[in-house]
Amino acid sequence: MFFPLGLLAQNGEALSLMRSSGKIYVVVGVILIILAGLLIYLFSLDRKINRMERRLRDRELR
Amino acid sequence: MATNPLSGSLKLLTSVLLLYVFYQGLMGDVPTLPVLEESIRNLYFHVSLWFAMILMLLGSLGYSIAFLISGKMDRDRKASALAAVSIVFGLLGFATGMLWGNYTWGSLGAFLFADPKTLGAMIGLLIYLAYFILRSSVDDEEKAARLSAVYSVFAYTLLIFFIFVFPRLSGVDSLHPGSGGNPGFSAYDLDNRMRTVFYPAVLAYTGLGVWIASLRWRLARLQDSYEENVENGPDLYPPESP
Amino acid sequence: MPSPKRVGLGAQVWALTLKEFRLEWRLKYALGGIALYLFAVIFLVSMTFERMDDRTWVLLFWIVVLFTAANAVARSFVAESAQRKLYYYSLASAGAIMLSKIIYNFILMMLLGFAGLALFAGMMGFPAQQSGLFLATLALGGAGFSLVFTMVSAIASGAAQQGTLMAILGFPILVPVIRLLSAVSMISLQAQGATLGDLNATQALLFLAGLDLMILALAMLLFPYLWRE
Repeated sequence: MFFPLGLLAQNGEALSLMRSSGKIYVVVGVILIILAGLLIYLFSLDRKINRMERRLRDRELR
Repeated sequence: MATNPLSGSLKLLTSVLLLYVFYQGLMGDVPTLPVLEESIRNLYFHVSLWFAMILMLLGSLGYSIAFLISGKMDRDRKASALAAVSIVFGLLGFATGMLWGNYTWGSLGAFLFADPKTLGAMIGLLIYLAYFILRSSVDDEEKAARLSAVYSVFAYTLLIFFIFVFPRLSGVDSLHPGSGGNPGFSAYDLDNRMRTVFYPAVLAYTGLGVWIASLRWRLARLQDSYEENVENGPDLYPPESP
Repeated sequence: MPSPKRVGLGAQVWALTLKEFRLEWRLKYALGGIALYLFAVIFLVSMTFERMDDRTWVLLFWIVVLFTAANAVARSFVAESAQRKLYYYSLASAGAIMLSKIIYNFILMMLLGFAGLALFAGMMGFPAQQSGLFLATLALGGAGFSLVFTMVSAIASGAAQQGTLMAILGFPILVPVIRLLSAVSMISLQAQGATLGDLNATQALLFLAGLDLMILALAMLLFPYLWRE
């Protein structure tokens, strides 16, 4: 039922923001990482679609 | 011709599930556990990311096999789109795992290669990266699709074998639950409350990943048909208004 | 010219394997190069490590065998020109070609692996208490290396920058293999009856043999798709 490594580390370190309020900020951090990652990916995908659309438009003009 | 591979109801279901998971994941009751405390909620956000990645990996593997059997380029486009999104999920899984592990296991990098689950995930990611490098180093598209499909079937079947073998070897202890003296999955959700959020979370993430993959796939299909039609003559492709 | 259908699979495999050996014999410098490579690496290791514990011995040994395998087996498909490939495929079935490459690379790997072990033992001693178990592990592990590299070389031969690609494609597959091999050979360092997790020595060997068979089956199953041109 115990994580020995975690217990050792916890005893050895001072309380930080991440450890306050029952470590809820770890959850906040995880959610933010996921959202940021997905957003970055969507932006890159969006750029690819833009490029494709430009190619299609260029052909239309010719 | 079905332009959209995902029906609207599936996207709606994914959206509703995501909203439910994020609300219930933050507001719902969780069992009180030592060390983990409130961060047990990451079960919904981090662990389900991996489950979704594995499901997409299996999907990609299935499409690779289907491509090898049928030779239809569309199957390959689906396989590579799913693989691409799986890489994103895998990288996010590592990033979130590092954060969570840092405050519960107490170290950031030490467990990265010592832990069989992390090792398996790491190898899985390396295979995907090798898969895309292989694709980009072959000029002929059909051949690139064939070689990478063979590689993905070869490498992933072996990876699945290893994932089953490794837990049986000692000296490769896991910090993850269910092995090496750590509590198993059922210890988390003594009252089954967490199951009602965790399973929907896996579904929601998988739905989201497949949704994004379908965008990639549609883009690849558009590019391919564009290139094909340019070769066949200027008027065959009807220009799409933006 | 006999058509592929009329000559049996066994005869095809036999002829192709003989051809591999003849080719190798004619290009003696290639074989000599690999032997020299093996010797140089082991010599370097023995120079750098004046003393080493048994664990280091085992891990270094596997790494040396791995790199030798990468160098020796890598050439198998990559060295063939496109025209020559086309010629083979008009003569023999894909399965026979793959099987002959596998057999040839396996024999080559066994020669190099056991030569490497002899050199390693000569220069740095042989720490294994159960030498039979260690030899069996080497045979099964060498088979695994040669199988993986034969398949990876077949895949990479269709692409550009084959040398780099070989390493990139082979590495993720071989990391767990090395992990498994070093774990199993740790048993052979201990006295009779030592175990590895839930596994005893026989079961560990069976695992390795199963792994080899699986790689073989996958390679034979997937190879025909590489040559549909």
